[in-house]
Amino acid sequence: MKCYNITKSGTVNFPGNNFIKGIIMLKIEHLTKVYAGGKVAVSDLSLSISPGEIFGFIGHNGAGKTTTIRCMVGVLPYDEGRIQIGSFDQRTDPLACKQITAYIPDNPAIYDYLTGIQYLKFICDVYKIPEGERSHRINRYAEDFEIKSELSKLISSYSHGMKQKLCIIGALIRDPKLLVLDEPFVGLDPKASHKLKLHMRELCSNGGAIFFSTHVLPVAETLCNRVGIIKDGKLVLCGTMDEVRGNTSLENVFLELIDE
Amino acid sequence: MRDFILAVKLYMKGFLNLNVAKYSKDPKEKSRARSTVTAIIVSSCIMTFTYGFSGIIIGRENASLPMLFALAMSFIMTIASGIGAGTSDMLLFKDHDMLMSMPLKKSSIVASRVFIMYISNLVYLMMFLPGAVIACTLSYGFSFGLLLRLLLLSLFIPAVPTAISTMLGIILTYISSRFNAKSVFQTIVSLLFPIILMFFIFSSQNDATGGAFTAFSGLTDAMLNIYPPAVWLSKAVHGDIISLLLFVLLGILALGVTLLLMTLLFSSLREKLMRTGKSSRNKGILKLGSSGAMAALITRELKKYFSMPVYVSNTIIGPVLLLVMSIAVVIFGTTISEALSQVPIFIDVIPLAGIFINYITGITTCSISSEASTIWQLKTLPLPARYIVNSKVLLHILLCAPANVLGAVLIPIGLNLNILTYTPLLLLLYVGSSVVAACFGLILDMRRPRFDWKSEQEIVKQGGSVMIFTLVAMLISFIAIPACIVLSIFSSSTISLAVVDGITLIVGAMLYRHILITANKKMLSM
Repeated sequence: MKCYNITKSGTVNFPGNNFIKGIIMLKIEHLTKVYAGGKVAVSDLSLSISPGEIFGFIGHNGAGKTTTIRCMVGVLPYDEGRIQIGSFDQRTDPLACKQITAYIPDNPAIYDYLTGIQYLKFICDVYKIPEGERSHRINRYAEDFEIKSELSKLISSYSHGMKQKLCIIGALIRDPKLLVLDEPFVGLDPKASHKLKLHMRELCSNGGAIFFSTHVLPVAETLCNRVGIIKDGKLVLCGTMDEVRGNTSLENVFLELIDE
Repeated sequence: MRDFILAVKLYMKGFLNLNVAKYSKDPKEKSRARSTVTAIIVSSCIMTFTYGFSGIIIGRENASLPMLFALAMSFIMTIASGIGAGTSDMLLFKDHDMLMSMPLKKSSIVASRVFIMYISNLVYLMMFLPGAVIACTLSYGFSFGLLLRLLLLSLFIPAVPTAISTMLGIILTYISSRFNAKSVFQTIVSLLFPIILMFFIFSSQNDATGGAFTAFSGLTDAMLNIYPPAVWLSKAVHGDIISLLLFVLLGILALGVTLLLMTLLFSSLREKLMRTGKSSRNKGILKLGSSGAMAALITRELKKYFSMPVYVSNTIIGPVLLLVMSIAVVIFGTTISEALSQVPIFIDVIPLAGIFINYITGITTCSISSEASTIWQLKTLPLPARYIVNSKVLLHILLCAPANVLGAVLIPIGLNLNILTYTPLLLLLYVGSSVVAACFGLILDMRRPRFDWKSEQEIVKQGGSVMIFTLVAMLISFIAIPACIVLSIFSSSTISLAVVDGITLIVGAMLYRHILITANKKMLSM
């Protein structure tokens, strides 16, 4: 399988078309993560995502979704397997992987002691976003998520939803090639959820890819091209939405698998 | 009462991470929890040995000295670190919402916070108390009556300092709630209190230039002058029951008044503290300058540091002490030189106090732990781990730099030493020891970071890395300063300083190299 060629600086010429056959943005092979104490959180998990795809990752509480995501984004070391983002290996070239990936955790824990704008400036500095583009990008997303007037306030004064929005803006302004979201719709109001879905689709239409975990199955059903179901650390089902759900609904498939 | 016990039990499970040590299956977590307790026990043993030795020589008439010294230490330590802690532990604890949503009385929750602060100060005092009790018993002669008196006194020593620091914390919180920059205001004021306290203590000593025993009794004399209950403690040790009762009653009264005030003011103070200032114009978006990744990381570290008054007041005291000492040496340099003219070697030793001061400055000891749940952000940045550790080490060195530079210049001037020779040597020594402290503190915190804290106090004062750091810093200082004196006997003081400089720089370089080598692995495994 041919891998997508992305330079270390993160620049890439995306063709702009969805579903480029044979090219992968994320490839996980035989991922295994065992926690101290012996609990196997993820066992022999393999999957891949192509540019333009939105991949939904579904599972019950404690199934291993967050662990898989944390291994993918380089927050957690893993015991076995290989994670490849673009053409980079997470184990041997973690910085290049991080440069093209944006991660939004389930709990938007960000620096309470900074103001919103200071946080975004910090992100811009670290990800080397050109000075000329910063204001434009921040303005665009801050207006979209209706948080612009709050940016000069301390993050400690933000509600959960506002922190989540700031986290999302911090991820989107980097123009990531792979966006990884853990339960992204929790805490967002319906309008912000709608905006996020639009931006997710836009990112994919520009050649990016999205991997997100969710418990909200109807959202996964309408948003995802492909879906994977994880149970007790093992990927039990993976395929396009039509393949997975067949003639029934995603909820029925999920409940059947979980009850087995 | 039931509510109070429930609230205390809940907190005590997290205290010193004992519950984690008991139930965790992760050997790292277990070892982190054990190290805290081990550090307290080892410190206590060292102090007990030192005190016990002093107990044999001080005699019956001075039997109350060790207890008075423990009282002085409790007073200084609690006031120095407790004002900011009062705010974070009493008002801004992270499980506030969870506790308040439970069917527990507000007064019980507040009472549990006061009690926990008192217990935490008592545990800290355990470094001095067992030794003090043994020394008193040795010098006075053992009797059950004496032991009972000492135990009662020990229990109530931290009561009044806890009450005072909490009250000061409340007043400070009330005043600072009127400012937008609350943290900066709190930090400045909480630093001023220990300085003023130290000024009172040292200015009330009659003979500050005497020997070790005079300095020891000088501190206790000063306590007797500025803190009247110290007289009751002294008399109680010698058998005066009325003084004992007065001391105990004062402790109960102090805690009771604190509790009452806190219960009455808790909600309004918390509300004031949580209120955020008016937002300024959104000028930032229009003019977003850019800086390098390292500058961005250091700016972030600086903002994080000054956003936690407890962290600042517990760690910046070293540079402030060095600064005060340097200025004091310039003002009183001639007097000190004349007083020590009989033993000139002591003049060479005074600049070495800077080593001790640098070694007790543990800014990096909770630098990683203070990231708490935001650690994911650092781990997902596309930057090598060395950038992150460098930003933490640099912050430490930068915060100590003004005091180190001024100390290296002012101390030789004050003591009429050759500036051209001493200033560069002292500068190397101070900066070198600052690097050693920064790297050692960071190594400890990287080995055993704690991210699940509920109040800043848990990592700043009770953290395992902080305990080990303090213990090792004391040991190094106890070894380094006498070693330098011995060296001065056999060679010139400049040569001995140069030797210590060399050793310090080599150790600093080795520790820094170790950090760089292990940073990637440690960051990933956190």
